[in-house]
Amino acid sequence: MTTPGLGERLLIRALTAIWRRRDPPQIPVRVFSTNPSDNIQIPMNLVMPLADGSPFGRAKLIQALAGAVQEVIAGLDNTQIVHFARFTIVGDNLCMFSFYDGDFANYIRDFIYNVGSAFDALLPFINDAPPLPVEQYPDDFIEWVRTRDALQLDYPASALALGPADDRDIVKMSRRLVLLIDECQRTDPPTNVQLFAYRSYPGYTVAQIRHALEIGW
Amino acid sequence: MTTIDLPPGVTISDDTILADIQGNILRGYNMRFVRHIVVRVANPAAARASIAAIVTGTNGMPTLTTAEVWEEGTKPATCVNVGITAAGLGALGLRPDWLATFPDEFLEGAPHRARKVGDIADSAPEHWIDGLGNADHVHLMWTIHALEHRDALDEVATRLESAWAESQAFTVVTRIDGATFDTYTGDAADRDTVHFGYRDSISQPRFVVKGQYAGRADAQPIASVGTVLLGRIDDPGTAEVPAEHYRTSFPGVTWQMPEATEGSVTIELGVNGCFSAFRMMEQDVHGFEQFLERSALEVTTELDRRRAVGEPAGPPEIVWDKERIAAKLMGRWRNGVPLSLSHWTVGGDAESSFTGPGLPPPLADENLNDFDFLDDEIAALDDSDGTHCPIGSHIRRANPRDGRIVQRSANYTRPLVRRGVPYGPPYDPANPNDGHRRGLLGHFMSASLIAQFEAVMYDWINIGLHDPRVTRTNDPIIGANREATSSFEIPLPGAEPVVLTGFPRFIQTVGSIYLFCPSVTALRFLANPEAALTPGRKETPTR
Repeated sequence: MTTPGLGERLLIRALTAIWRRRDPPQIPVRVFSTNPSDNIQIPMNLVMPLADGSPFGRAKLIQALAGAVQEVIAGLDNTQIVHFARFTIVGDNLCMFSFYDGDFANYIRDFIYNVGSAFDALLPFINDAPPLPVEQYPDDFIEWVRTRDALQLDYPASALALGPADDRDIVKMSRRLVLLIDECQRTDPPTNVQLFAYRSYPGYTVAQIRHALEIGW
Repeated sequence: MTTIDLPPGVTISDDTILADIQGNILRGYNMRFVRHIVVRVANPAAARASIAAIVTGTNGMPTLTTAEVWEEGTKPATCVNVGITAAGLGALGLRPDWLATFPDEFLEGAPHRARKVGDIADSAPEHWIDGLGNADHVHLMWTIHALEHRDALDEVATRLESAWAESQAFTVVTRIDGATFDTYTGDAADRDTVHFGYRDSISQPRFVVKGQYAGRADAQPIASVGTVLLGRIDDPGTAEVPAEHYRTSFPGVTWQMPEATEGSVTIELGVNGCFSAFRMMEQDVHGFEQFLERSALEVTTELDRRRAVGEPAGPPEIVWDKERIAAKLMGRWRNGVPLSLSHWTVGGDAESSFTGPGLPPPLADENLNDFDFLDDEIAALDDSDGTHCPIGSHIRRANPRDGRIVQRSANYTRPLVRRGVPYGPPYDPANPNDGHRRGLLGHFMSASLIAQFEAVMYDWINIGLHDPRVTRTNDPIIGANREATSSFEIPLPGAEPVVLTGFPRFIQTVGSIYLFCPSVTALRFLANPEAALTPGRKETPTR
């Protein structure tokens, strides 16, 4: 696939502008559900742009993270709702990818309570950081994380079924997908999108797995 | 232990602070009648004037009840309090930038948060009464309590509504009445009984008054004032009440402070106030009683079967009647005695075991809350496995106390002050289809709705995230159960548990309102923000 040329890009811009007026896009928000299956092993893809992407800036970030690792591990052990968590630098972003159980806000609040000081140490290296210390601004931090967590599209099913159930014309749905992605690029910060996630077994909580394997919870 | 009738967590010398806090937050009134009048602002200026008059008790209005100490024999005949929704604050004229300083869950309102707390299906907002399912429709809720006589309540309500009709301050959306059981039965012993037959209002966060515990003896640590009141966490404390008794329920973590800023002047509107999830919960008493009868028979039959084939079935002397089933579901017997203090053990403990039938002997009132779930020293008292009080029982979900939970640091972080009064007459088994609606009118108060009320309802009540042994099940009493999936496990010592299944949701939500319960200072501000924000004339909350 080749990169679109100037003419094609202008055409796309004009078309999306027309479509936006006709069918204004809305980025879907996560809907609360009391169904346990909807609340177990939920991915979080937190993408945090680096304040200083230079080798010097990255080195300082890595040093700060190294100093916080033990605290983060102890804190995650304490929450007992996080299956996996990885800190990874991708491009000019520090990313935290994790799978957690339960409510997003409760997860982040527990995180603040248990390892808030670790985030206080890391966030100065992040662009457009939330107010610090996070312990004093928990709601701001929860919202800050929410806006930097990737939008989760259960691709391809929900991505191809955008729009009202009684209006599933394939052309319209394709337009809506284009507009949704366009809208995601317009937000500040731009909204990343998770397309697909896989697990090889039914959803269980961290504690259920540890309990079943008799390794303590 | 002290039994003096003081709002706890503050010292007697803090008169100015007590006078700034609405009276129903730190203490229960224990009055017989209540009416909640839900209103909309019709004329903002008149509404603000009405609030000002009620705060001061002028212009013929009843006076707002504060937390000031009631000396012996001076308990008033009536009390008046108010909570305001986000839409109500806007309707009263609170500027959008000031309103934006309130937490999101409050701004969104109860209908928007319904799914999170399990208000789904027949409990969804579209089924709530009198338009309560529309957050924009509800602005304020005035609450009138009457100590002894409904006439006194009616008199205050009439005075308020007449004044509002005349000034066009508010229009009434609905009136919701409640009354304690003794008003129907004439028996004072029924004062704290609610539908389903349980004794209620036993467990509340326990604060400290002048260095002494206020309330019942309790194995739990004392709660800090910051678990329910905003803005007190920086209090330096006193020798009698140390500073840590003011912190939030998450030590070191603070909550968003609603405030109004104009130029260099900032008024912290949240100080001495709290948030409340008001809920109107309709109870299917007949269905619940039938379930108890059916379950008692099923459990007895199952344990008899096990014994007949030589399988372990727990102590044979135990009578599995409906009262024991009711106790297992709640975690307390219906007379309030906690299972943890009346349990039976393998081998039995003659002094503490109760084998049934019926209810165990009552405990002294001050001892009803003096228990927890773990005991490192006396094995017979340890209830890690839930053989005394089931892990999935209501009280163990709503407040796991010292019990082992998944979120290791979350014990004691989600306390709720509960103020409840039943509505509808007591259930008469001889006349089960009497046509009366009955249930509970409850305030669930906290400094943070999302971190306390919603977290309890979401993680613990309806998902069972706190313990892998009950994950994927709902609270048997208040959970969003469905017959197809409901399940409740009763652990037995030395035997496989018995599992109750196929039960419906026994309590439906028919209305819910997220309210801000402001301080007197904040109410004065709402009544006249210009005066408060004028430099040199500002009214500073008492901190």
